[in-house]
Amino acid sequence: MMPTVEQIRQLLAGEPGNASLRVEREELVAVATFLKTDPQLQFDFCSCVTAVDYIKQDCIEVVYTLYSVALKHGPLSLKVRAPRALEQCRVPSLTPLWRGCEFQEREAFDLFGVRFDGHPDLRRILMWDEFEDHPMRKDYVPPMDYEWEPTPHGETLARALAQGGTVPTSARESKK
Amino acid sequence: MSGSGLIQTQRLEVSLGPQHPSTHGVFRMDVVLDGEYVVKLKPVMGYLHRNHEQIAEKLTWLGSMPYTDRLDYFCSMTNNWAYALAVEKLAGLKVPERAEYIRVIMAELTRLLNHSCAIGFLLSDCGAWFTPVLYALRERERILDFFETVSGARMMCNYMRFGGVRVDLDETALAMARRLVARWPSFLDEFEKLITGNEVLLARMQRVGILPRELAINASISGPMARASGVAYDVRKVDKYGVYDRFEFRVPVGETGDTYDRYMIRILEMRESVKILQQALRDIPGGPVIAPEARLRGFKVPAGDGYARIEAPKGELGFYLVSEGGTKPYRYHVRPPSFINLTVLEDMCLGHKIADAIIILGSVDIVLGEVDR
Amino acid sequence: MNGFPGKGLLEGLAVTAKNFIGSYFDDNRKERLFTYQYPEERMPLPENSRTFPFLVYDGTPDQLRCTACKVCETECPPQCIYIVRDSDPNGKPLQRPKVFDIDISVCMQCGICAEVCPFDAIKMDCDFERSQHGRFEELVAHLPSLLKSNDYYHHIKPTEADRVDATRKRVKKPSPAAAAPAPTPGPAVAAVLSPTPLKPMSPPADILTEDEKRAWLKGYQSILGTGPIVWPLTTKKIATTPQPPTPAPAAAAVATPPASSLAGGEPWHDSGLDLAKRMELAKDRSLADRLMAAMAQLDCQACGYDCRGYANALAAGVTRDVTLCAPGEDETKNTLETLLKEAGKL
Repeated sequence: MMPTVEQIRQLLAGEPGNASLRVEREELVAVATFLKTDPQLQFDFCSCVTAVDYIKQDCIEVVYTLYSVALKHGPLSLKVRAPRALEQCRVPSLTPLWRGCEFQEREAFDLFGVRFDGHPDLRRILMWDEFEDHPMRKDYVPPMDYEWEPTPHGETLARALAQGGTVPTSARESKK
Repeated sequence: MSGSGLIQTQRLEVSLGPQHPSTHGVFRMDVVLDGEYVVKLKPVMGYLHRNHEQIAEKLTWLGSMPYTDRLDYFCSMTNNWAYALAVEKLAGLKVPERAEYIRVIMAELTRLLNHSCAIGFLLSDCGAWFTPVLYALRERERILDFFETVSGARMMCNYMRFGGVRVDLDETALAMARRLVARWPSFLDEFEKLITGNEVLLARMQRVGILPRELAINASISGPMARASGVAYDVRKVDKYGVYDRFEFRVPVGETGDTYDRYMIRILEMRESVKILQQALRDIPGGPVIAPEARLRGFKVPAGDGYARIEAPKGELGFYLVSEGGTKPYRYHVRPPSFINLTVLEDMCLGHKIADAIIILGSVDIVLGEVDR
Repeated sequence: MNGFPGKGLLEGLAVTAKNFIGSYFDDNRKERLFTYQYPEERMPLPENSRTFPFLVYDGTPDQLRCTACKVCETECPPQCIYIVRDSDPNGKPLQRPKVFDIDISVCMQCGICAEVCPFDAIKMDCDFERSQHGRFEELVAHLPSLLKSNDYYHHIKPTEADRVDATRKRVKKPSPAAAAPAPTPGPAVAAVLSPTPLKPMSPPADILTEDEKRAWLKGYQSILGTGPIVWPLTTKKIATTPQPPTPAPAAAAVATPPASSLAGGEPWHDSGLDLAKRMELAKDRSLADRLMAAMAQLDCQACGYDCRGYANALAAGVTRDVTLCAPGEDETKNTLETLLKEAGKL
């Protein structure tokens, strides 16, 4: 269901700095186009695009923070959720509307695995191209290429002992 | 461009970087050249990716503060402020007035040192070799000495805290700040006399790398780069965070959006920053510098999410934080200006020579710590 | 463009010439500027300069302020501190560290450990000449090399040290178990453990020739890293403006204290009073008040609460652990035990 100008106005006035609008994936592009083109809203500046991994709710939420340069209002957060499973984690891309989403959507794809349909050039941006897996997900397990550190702590010490690495005298003594 | 067709030319793909004295850090550009003219340009980043956002999920709210210093490592004070602002917004902390003035002083000094450095390096890219850089760095050293006197470290200041600042400025420090601000206009005059009217500079920088206004807004360009293209948008004037609404300053806006405009906007912004500093140093009130309910240990931020932004010297620096009500952030995202300003690098460089591509990159003013986090 | 061609270039050259001559003089064009002949001469650093942390002791090294409460270890962002608490031959834990390692290749010099330490035990040094010939074990600073005297702290940071001394009223008494003989330290360590006079950084004035200077420097470099080094300070002492009082921590997440205690204030909440005096001041008050009076009154949060919060938790039965007050040591533990047994809560 498309929001009306009045609803958006109320959102912006009600919680200044915290206005957010949750939409479904199917209506994302329509709502975004409306927000951008409506002459009373004119959200022409997409400031921040990020993804949040809500592992407990089993979804990844993509958040678009919009401002208006022409009318100097904002921010409005546009939130859309997608399932966590990699094959189903797809969201329509808003890069055709706001060019500034280009790199940030690439980053969300790189680090979270969210595929943006309609993005002109969706590939990894921060990690190297051959990297597998998506590091910022909550269930990401880093690879076991642990480099020896002389003052291991907690889980680092446990990993060192498990891998048969050497630990310094001070750490060994404390185990006595 | 490729001649009248009599000469057989071939497109050459060149990888500019990641090590290159002029690319401002470990940043690579894959350029396709037709002779000397750029036909395609793809920026490649990620060489300085340190996974700052994931580290922040393991640390407490305060523990991320030293890491924000290292985002845009030239401007640690403004990075600290943006993060502190985001957390204060979520936690509902009110900052005392003296702390707000101190924050403004530190931010404007940071703007001075960032712009002087940026211009210095841009001019060095243009071929003025190192003279303007060293003049700019000489003034910057004074500001770094001031930061060391106040916060203990020249660049990684770790100075802002949630609800205020870490230590107060005493009279000696204020006198030092006033002295260095008093020297700045004469340095700018001298700098402009040195280089602004220089014919070589004008020939190299004017009409190079033009960024149209509509593209700038659409591509989320912010900061001096956007203002050079005619976008009259400054977060200090729009959001009025801190106590910026008490100061009288103008925001310079350019017309053409070429490299020369971006250079001149930075010089003019430095002059405006000096004005703000003079007002702030004159009007700074007494009082505490940290909110009484601020805590160092066991600081919990109520559940919720929020986005806060400031006008960092490079553009709009924002932090998007999601809290679950605990002592650690659930999601911590940095909106880096340099990263997003690079979106239009290809658009600006197309049709120019490769030497101009270097200058255009210099005028975007990127810092890889911020681009890659 | 106004003016003749080449005008911009000539103006620029004039500025360069002026700066070239001017670079020989200081800002006011009065004094001649010379280069600091490093490493024989060093530039003075501002007082607040911070590099790596060090541990402060009052008097002798075994009177170190650190109680191994591990607050700095928890708060350190890159987790470069590693502490193991000491214990006496019977296995009872002591309020001092047996192992205190700081990995200075990991330390990011943020100063958060010094900010959160409840005992003013760890402070930021200004020594940056810490290069070693190895990357791993050599760059880990162990307890002997971290211990520096309060005099050294006064020397490098006079204003801050004065303020710390003024607020510290309680000096940790060396616990009886600490008299257990430690293994004989090696010569380099012994140089630190016995209070040595601070070493100067520039060669003495009677060494004049370059060869003698070099020889002195070689000898000096061989002892780097084994003893406290004195850094020349800025000669101007920073004017002390009264610092705002450190904010008292907000009430911990335990139920608000009963109205009766707040009505009379908390006169025992002064870490300079000893236990007998504190119990005397609290003798007619509620159980929570008396429990609080038994504690060390430092609000250090080593127990996980502040003093009032811990007292409330004990009185309400939320916790039964009477050993949590680290600075209070045995006398607090025994008093808490007695009080709770009398009240039938233990």
